[in-house]
Amino acid sequence: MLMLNMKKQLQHFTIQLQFESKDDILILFGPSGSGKTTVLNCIAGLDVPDDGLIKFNEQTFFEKNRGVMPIQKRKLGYLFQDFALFPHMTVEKNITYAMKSQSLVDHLVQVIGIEHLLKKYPRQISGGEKQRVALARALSTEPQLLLLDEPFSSLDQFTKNVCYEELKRLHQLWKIPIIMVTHDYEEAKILGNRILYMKYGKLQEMEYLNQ
Amino acid sequence: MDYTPLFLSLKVASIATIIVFILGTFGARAIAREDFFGKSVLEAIILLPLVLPPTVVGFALLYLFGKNGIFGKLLFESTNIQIVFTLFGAILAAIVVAFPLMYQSASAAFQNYDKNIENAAIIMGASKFKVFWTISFPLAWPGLLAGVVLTFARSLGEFGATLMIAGFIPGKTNTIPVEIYFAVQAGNTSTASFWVVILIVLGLVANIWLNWWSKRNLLKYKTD
Repeated sequence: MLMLNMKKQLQHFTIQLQFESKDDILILFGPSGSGKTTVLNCIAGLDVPDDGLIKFNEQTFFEKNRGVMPIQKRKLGYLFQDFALFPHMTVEKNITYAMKSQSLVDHLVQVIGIEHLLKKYPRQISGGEKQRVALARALSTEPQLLLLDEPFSSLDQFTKNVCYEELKRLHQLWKIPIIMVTHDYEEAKILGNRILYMKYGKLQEMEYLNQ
Repeated sequence: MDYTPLFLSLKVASIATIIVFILGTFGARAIAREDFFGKSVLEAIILLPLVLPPTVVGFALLYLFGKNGIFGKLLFESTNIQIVFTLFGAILAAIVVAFPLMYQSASAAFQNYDKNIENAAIIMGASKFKVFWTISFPLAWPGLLAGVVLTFARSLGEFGATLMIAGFIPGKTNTIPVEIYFAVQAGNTSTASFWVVILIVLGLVANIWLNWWSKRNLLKYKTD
C-alpha cells in the first residue's frame, strides 16, 4: 500500500496532499499546472517534497529529516507522457535494458502484442506502438507500483480505446497499484477505481467508481 | 623537405584532443544539466580563453607554469618536468585554448535530449555509471564528435599561446603555425605556402568528414 502525505512549495502555490492507494487504479485528475506530475515525480524520487512522508509497503521513500530512498531501489514503473524510449536502441533493447528475467520479457511481449516490433527503432513505430513498448519496458523490471503520466494524451481516440482495454487487462493480471495522471475526465472514468480531483496542489474531492 | 612540424603538430593536437575530450565530456556532464550557486561564474571562467587573445593565455600560462611560477616550480621539483620551451608547453597551450570549444559542444550535446530518457533508465534500476555509458554518452555522441573535430582543428592551428610558452625550437616545438610565422619572417615564402596548404587541407578534410558522418548517422539519434 502506498501512503502519501506531502507538502511541496511550487512557484505559485503549495502542494499539500494526502492519500493512500492499494492495488487499485487511482487517477490524479485536474487542470494543467495543478501539481499532478510533481506528485508522481515525488513518489518516483525525481523530485523531493519539502515535508511529509511517502511510504510504500514497508519501505519509506521519503521522510523529512530521515533522508530519501535512492530512485533505483524504489522498484517502480514510470510511463512518461512522451514515453522517453531510448531512441538509439531497438524495441527489444529498450525492453530488456534492465529486465529481471527473459521469460518475463517474453511473456510481456506476447501479452502486449509487440513481437513484430522487436527489431525496430522507436522512430520507426507509431504513437500507439510506442505507448505499448513503453508499458512493456516499465513492466519488465517487475515494478510493485506503476506511475503513468498522461500516457495516452498524444494518441488518437481509436488507439486510446485499445490502450485503455490493454491497461485494464494488464491491471487484472498484475494486481499492482497504478497511479495515473490525466486531465481527460472520460479517460479517468473509464480507467480509474478512484478519481482524486486536484486544484492548485490541494485535494478538492475524491470520487469512487464502481469497477 | 623536413616534415618535423607536421609530426609535432599532429602529436600536440592528438594528445591535447584526447585530454580535452575526457575533461570536456565529464566536465560538461557534471555541470551542464545541474543548477547550482556560482554556475554562471564557473562557466564564464571555463569559456574565458575563447574571448581572450591567445597572447594573454600564453602570458598567463608562462606566469603559472614558468620555472618560478606556482605550478611550474611544483611540477619541476616533484617530477623534473619542465613546461616552458618544451612540447609539454605546446600541448598545454592547445588544451587551454581548445577546452572551451569542447565544453560548449559537450554542454549543448548533453542538453539536447529529453532528460526523462535518463530518468526512465534510473527508475528501471540502472546505476549512474550504466546510465552514462548506455544512455547519456551515446545520445550526446554527435555533439561530442563535433567538439572533438573542433578541438583537433583548434589545437592544430594554435599559434599565439604556443609561441609564448613553447617558443620556436626547431625539431622540438616548431609546430606548423609557428613554422609558418618564422618562414615568413625569414622570407621563405615557398615553405610558408607549403605548410599553409597542409593546414587548409587538414581543416577541410576534418570538416568534410564530420558533415558526411553527421548526414549518415544523425537520424538514429533523433528522439522523436
